[in-house]
Amino acid sequence: MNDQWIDVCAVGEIDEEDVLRFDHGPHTYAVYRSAENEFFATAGLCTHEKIHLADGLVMDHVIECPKHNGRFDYRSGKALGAPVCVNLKTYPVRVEAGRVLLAVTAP
Amino acid sequence: MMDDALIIVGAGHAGGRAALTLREEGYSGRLILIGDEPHLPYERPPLSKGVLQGTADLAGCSLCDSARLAELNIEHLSRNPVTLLEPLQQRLQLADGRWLAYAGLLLATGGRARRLPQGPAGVLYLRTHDEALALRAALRPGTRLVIVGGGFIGLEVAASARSLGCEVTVLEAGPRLAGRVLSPIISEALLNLHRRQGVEVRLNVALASLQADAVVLADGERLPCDQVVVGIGMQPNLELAAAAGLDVGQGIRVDAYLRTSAPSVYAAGDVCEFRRDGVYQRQETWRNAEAQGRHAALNLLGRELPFEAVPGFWSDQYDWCVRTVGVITALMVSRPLPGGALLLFYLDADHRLQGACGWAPGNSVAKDIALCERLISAAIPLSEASLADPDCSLKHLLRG
Repeated sequence: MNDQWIDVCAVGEIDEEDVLRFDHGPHTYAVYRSAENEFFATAGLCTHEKIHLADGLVMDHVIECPKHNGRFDYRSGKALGAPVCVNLKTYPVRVEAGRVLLAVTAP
Repeated sequence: MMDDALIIVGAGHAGGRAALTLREEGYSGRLILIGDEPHLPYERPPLSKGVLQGTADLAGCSLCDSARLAELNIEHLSRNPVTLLEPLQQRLQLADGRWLAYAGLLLATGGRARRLPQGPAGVLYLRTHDEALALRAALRPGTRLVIVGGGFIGLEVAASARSLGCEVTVLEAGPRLAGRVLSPIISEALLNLHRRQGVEVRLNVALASLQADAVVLADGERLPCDQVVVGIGMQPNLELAAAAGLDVGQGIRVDAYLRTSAPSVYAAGDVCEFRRDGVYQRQETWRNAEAQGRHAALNLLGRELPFEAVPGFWSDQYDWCVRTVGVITALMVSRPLPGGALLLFYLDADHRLQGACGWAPGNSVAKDIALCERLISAAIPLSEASLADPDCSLKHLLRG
């Protein structure tokens, strides 16, 4: 395994059905907590115009870009239609001892 | 003729989005996209921000690259504008004399910056990418810039010019900034922001003349400057449609399906004059170009969908953003947010949400505006007390 697990935050720092921006080194991620209390992570910037997604609305399993309303399923990263057409990269997330951990692939 | 093409006149955001949508929706016939500008279809909002400041380029604003256009077999004609439309013959003529027949036509001809009648050479305007580049070349540290017009273009240019170190004066004829589309409290917030950023903003100003090195006001005051840029609105490009006998008002008039008065001819984007709540209007916004471009494409394919999208726009200035959805009404409820940010709700007589306007740093009010869009669609009566309470979750209101 060349995945490197990074501590993001305490579980309680992300509301249910919401998203948190997480910056690590030069990279930025969006970390989600679903209404079912599951955690997910995607690249932090919209594939359309590089807007930080964490300012956007999470409803059900969809994140909506705060600028142009492009929508993605944050579980799969799938772009759900114009103006977004390129999927988001997704990252594994796990919860351990009340902390949210994000796996980023080592270069 | 079944093998006649679908043609889109106007290769801006609306026209480009329509072309891409036609292919995404499975249309495989001939598809021609005709534009005046020598560029691929692009989105205009970055022109007054990133492009002026040098942090965004044309490729970053484009709806797609040329490889994608070729892959989708979209014929893109530029520098060969349409000179004549014959709707009864369902054909149009290009500047080089060639005729093209169409099975369906979309007019997305947009507009051009409205000119001042007697501006001298050297006055700049901002509507197109090339105009943005010309303006950028004129903005240097210390440049004394006078901006005529305190609407969104003028204000965004002011913010960009300040970030480039220019000395900026904004002249507005009306009593407040962006007064046509914003509530007074937001106009006031914009005014304070620009003044804090060192812009000299003058309201209720009447111009006497523009000179090569100064702007002269009606009261005789002379404002020396190095550059004048004028942002006083857009003139819709409706001459082609008007000459062809299509119904036009302040734009190309369409019905609820975005159909013009000519058979198989649709209109979309800035040039399209459509009825909302019984009133003819144009929407010169990114959001409208996106929505109508897509919508007209679907109806060109026979979907017969009425256009009912909720309007909205945003404007980024410095680190702040004003963002709206829906329409302004007389019944306004204000919700204060931390740090001087603000969320305004506009209700109808039954207390159903009709519109909202957020004023906040960055994109921090975007979630609330996205929820307001859903509350507008949900049409549920809302209490003024809940809306005014910063601790009352809009998502909670939406889900009852």
